[in-house]
Amino acid sequence: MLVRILTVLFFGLSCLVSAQAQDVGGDSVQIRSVQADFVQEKHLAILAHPIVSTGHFTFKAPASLRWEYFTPVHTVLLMDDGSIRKFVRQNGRFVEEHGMGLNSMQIVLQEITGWLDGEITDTPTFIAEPEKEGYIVLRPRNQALAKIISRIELKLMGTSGLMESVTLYEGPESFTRMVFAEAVLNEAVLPSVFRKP
Amino acid sequence: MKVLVVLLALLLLSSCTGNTLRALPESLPAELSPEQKETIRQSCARLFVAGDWQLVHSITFNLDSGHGATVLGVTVLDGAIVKTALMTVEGFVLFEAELDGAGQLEVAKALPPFDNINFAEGLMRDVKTIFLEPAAVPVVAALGLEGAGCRYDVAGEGAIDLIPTPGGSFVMHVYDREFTETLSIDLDSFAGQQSGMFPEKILLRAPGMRGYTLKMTVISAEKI
Repeated sequence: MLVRILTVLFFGLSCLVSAQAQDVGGDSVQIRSVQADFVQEKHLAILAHPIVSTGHFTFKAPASLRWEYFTPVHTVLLMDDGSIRKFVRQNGRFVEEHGMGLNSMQIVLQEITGWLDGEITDTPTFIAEPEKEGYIVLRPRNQALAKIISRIELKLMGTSGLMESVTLYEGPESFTRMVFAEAVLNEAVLPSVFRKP
Repeated sequence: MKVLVVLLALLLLSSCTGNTLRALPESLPAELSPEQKETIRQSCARLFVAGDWQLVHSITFNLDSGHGATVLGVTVLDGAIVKTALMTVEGFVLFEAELDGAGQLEVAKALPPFDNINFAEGLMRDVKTIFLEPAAVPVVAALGLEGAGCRYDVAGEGAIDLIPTPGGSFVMHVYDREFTETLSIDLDSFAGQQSGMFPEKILLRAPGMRGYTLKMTVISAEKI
């Protein structure tokens, strides 16, 4: 369950960065690929100082994704051609972690497809509601999921449709905020990016 | 999920496994001067955390089968209160609990398969063992083949031997009430962090047929 949720959220959220991308004329842009850096802050009641992680992700339509943390632990999640793999860097080389739960792949793909095809709207997993200006809130439909993720807050970057940040709330004092930067749309991406750590 | 189940099993074993590979070595009078004994005693005491700190570690476990996983471990030492959280690298909290000075355990969050009181108790006990000096006056003695070190004989719980090595590291042997070794912990690569000294690498081994290894690497140590 946890792996499924985690995979859904992190793979799906990467796509939100580009879900409603528009060009300078305001017309919708067909997303072929998107890349961005991110800084993640983990806030927890017991933490006097948040845990800060940095990383980068690369997405290529229809369903290839590389989600990489550089710090504090160098890990790479790869999704390509129906397979999902996770690698952790240990002693100077990447070691694959097994047991990620391959069934989650199908759910991930559904989420990605849903977010890319339309606007940021309801999906089988979340109900989307616009909140204050520039924000959209996703609430889980499933009660079991709601115990783990109470809501997801998306902050839009102006009228571009790009995401400025995503905040996942686990509870009142526990949340994870990812702030994106240096987003690049529709650049060519080599297939090996999604196959090798 | 399989990874988490394996991790749970390992961590449960870390607190529950009794093996008979190593019995408590007898304390023998060490031929050391009082000054030497005091030096060893002080070096043992310095190993443990004093004051209020927030520690973050990466925790990696490996099995011979090739299975393994890496999670983040948060330890907050706030006076006599110990707070601990385990979370995925992506930031999802798997387990969060607090142990007060009176030994009262409060679990704030425990996702399956971590929603098990044995796991919670075992984890908090291990965290205390690694970071807090035992509630006993150490006796400096020759401890087995590894040389002179400190023995903490904790009433009703067992014993902990803490032995400095020639390379500047420490090895800790933890024994249960039957004086059977349950854990061996290597504390290595000490570095100064805001007036404290912390091992940058901790290797926790549970010997025996179901043996495993947990490797902890410090990510940050901040005084709070």
